[in-house]
Amino acid sequence: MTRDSLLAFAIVGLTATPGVAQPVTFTAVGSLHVPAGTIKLQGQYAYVAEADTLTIVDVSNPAAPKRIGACTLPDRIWGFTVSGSSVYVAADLWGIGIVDVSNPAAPVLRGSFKTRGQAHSIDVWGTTALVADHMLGIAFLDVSNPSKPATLGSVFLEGYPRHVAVIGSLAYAVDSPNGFYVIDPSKPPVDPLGSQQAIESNFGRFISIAIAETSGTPRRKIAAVSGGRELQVYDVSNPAAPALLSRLATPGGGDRMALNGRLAYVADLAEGLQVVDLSTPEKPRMVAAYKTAMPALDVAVAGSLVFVTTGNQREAVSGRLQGEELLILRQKD
Amino acid sequence: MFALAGVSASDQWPQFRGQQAGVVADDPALPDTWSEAENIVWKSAIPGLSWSSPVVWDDHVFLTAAISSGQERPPVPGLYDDQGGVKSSAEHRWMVYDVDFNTGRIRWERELRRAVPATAKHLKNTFASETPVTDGERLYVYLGSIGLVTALDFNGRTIWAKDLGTFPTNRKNAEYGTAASPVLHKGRLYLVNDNLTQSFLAAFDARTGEELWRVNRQEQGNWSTPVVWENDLRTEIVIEGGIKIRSYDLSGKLLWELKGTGLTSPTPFARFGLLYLNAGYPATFPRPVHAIRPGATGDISLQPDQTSNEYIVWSNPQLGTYNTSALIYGDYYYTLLDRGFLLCNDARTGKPIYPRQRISSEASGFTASPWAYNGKIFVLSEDGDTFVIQAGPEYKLLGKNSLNDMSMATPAVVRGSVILRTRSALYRIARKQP
Repeated sequence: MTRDSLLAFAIVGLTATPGVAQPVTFTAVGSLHVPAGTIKLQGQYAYVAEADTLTIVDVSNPAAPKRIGACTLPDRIWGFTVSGSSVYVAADLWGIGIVDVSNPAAPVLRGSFKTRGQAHSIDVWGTTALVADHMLGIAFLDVSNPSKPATLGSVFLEGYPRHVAVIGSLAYAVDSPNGFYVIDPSKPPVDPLGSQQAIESNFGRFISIAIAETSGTPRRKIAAVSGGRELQVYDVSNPAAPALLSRLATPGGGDRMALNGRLAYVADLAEGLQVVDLSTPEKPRMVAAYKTAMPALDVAVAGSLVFVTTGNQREAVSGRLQGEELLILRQKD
Repeated sequence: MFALAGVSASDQWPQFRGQQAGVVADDPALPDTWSEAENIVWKSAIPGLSWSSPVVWDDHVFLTAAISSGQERPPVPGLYDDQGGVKSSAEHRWMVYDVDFNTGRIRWERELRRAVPATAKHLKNTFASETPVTDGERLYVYLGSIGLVTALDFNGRTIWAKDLGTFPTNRKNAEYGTAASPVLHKGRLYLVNDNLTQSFLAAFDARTGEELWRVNRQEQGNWSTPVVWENDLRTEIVIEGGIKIRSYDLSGKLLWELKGTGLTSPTPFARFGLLYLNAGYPATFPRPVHAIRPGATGDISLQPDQTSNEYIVWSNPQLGTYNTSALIYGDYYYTLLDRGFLLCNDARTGKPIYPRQRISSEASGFTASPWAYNGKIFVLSEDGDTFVIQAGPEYKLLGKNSLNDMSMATPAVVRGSVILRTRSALYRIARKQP
C-alpha cells in the first residue's frame, strides 16, 4: 500500500454533522510553475508528472515550493504512485518504470517492464505492483527486485483498464466504459472479488479512487470514484458485491479527486476546485469551491493544505489540458 | 482465363475470409503445425507495409502494399488509445503483386500510384489495408487512403479506374485511416466508405467501372467490410455501422436497420439461414452480437429489456469484438477477443458453451480473424503465432506455430495450403508430402 493511499485510509472517517454545515474556504499560500498534471504527496515532497516528466517539489514551506529534481521517461506518464523511496510509473506503451527517489535531487530509473499493452495506472501492495494495462487487465508484477520486475499474472477487466488503487488490504480498479472492480492483491490473480458495471456511466481516461468509512451503525466502507465527468460513490462493505450508491456531476466535469474526512476535493477543470460533502453517501452535495486561475487538473490533500495542479494549454493530439502550475491552498473551516 | 486442371470455384479464395467466412473443407494436406523451418513450401519477401489479406485464384496470389520512401513509425501490437494519427511526409508507392502460387515468385507488380499520403492513419493501420477481391477474370482493388478503386486483369493491366476521393475517418490529429474491403456479387462491385465528410455505399459495374448507384449514409468512420446476404427471401447488402447497422437491397434501398455499435471493424457473415453481426470497441458498451432472421423491414432494434425479437433470433450485449470477425464452425459460434481469449456459444441460440478462455498469457493481441479446418480452429496473434485449438464444446489448446513476425492479416486457405502474410513476407504453408 502506498503512503498516500495509507494516509487517505487513515485520516478519513465520514463524520456527519447534522444541522450545521461548516463553511469551507481556501486561501492561496504558494505556487510554482512546473509541468504538473498529476500529483501525489509523500512527506515533505510533492511528486508531479506531466507528459513524460516526473518532477519532485519540496513543499515543506508551502509559501515557497521548490523544485528539487526531475527525470524523464521514454513515454507519456499516465499514472504513478510513491512507495517508500521509489516512484512506480505507468508510462503508456513503454510499460512501467521504477524510479529510485532516495535522493530526490537525482532520481534514477532502477528498472522497467514492458507490459503487453498500454500501462495506464499503477499501485503497489508489498512487493507486488498492480498495473492497469489495456491488454492484460490488472497485471500483477513482482517488484521485489526493482531491476527485474517479473510477471505474476493478471485479472481481466471487461473494458479498457484505466485505474487501479491499493487501499488497505484490497485493490480497486476501474475500466472504460463502466466497470468498477474489487480485487484481492494477496491472491493469485484470476478474477475480481466483485464488480459492478454501471451501464449508464462512462469513466473516461483519468480517474481517482479513494476509500472512507462512514460513521454510525453499521459502519460502511465507501469508495469515491471520480472520472467521466462525475463523482460516483460505491458501498464496498462487501467487496464481493460493490453497490453504486450515488452519482454527482460536478459543474466542470473534472476527473480527478482526493478524499479527506467527509470531504471529496474534485479538480474540476475550468470550475476550479469543488468540495463535495459525502457525509450522506447516497446524497453527496457540493459545499465549497475555489476558482483557480487555470483549469484544475488534479488534487492532493495533506491536513489543511490542498495541492492543486492547473494548466491551460492543450496537447495537440489528445486535446487534453497540460499541467503548468502547482498551486497550494490552505483550507479554513 | 488460365485455369489449373482440376481446380473448381470452391478451390479459390477470392475475397477476405474466403467464401465460407473462414471455414475450409477438411483436407489432410492442410497443416496443423508449422514454423519458419517446418512445412514452409515457400516464403516470399513482400516490400512495404499492408495488412490486406491475400486472395487466391488458380495459381495467382494477389496482394496489395504501400511502400514508403522514408522511415515510418512501426506498428505496435496490442490495444491502446490516445496515440494520435500517424502522418507520413514521405512519398509512398501503392502496389499490387501477383505471386505465383506454386513457386512464391513475384510474377508481376503494378504501381497504382505514387504520392505522399493525403491522410493520416492509426498507428496499427496501414495505407493499404483493404483486401482486394477477384471474380477470376479481374482483380478489384480499393485503396481508401488514395481514394482509388480499380480493376486489373490478371496480367496487371488496368481495365478501369475511378477516383472516389479521400476522407477523414476520425477526428483531426487522431485519424485512423481506412480498411473496409470491396465485395463482389453477380457482376457488381460494392464498396462502402464511412467517414466524417460524407459516408456512402456505392455499386459499380464490375466490367466497366460505371457507377450504378450511390446512397449516402449517416455514419462516421467505420472499417467493416459489407456482406452480400443471399437468403431464402431475397439478396441484401448488410453493413455494420457505428450509428446504425443497415441492410440495403441491390438497388441501394434501405430494407432494415438497428441501433449501431460504436466503432466497427468485423465483417458480418451468414450461416444456418441467419446473418451474424458483431462489433464493439472495448471501451464502449454495448458490444453486441446479433443473429438476424431474413425478411426484416424498418427498425428492428431491441428494446432495453429485450434480447430477441421477431427478427433478432438472439443477441448478446457483450460478446462483440473490436477487430476480429467471429467464426461459426460446426454448431458453434466462436468469439476471438482482441485481447487473446476465445469464447464459445451455440450458434443457433447464443447459449454459452464455454466462457472466456485465455489463449496465452504471452500473446500481445489478435486482429486477424480465425479460420478452421480438420476439426481445429486457428487464431493468429499479432506476434505471428498461430494457436491451434480443438473445435467443439470443450476448450483445448493443441499447439502454437510461430513465424516471429508481426501479423494482422487474415490468411487465405486454399488447395491444401495456408497463404499467410506477415509484416515482411508471404508464406505458403502446407503439410510436407512423405
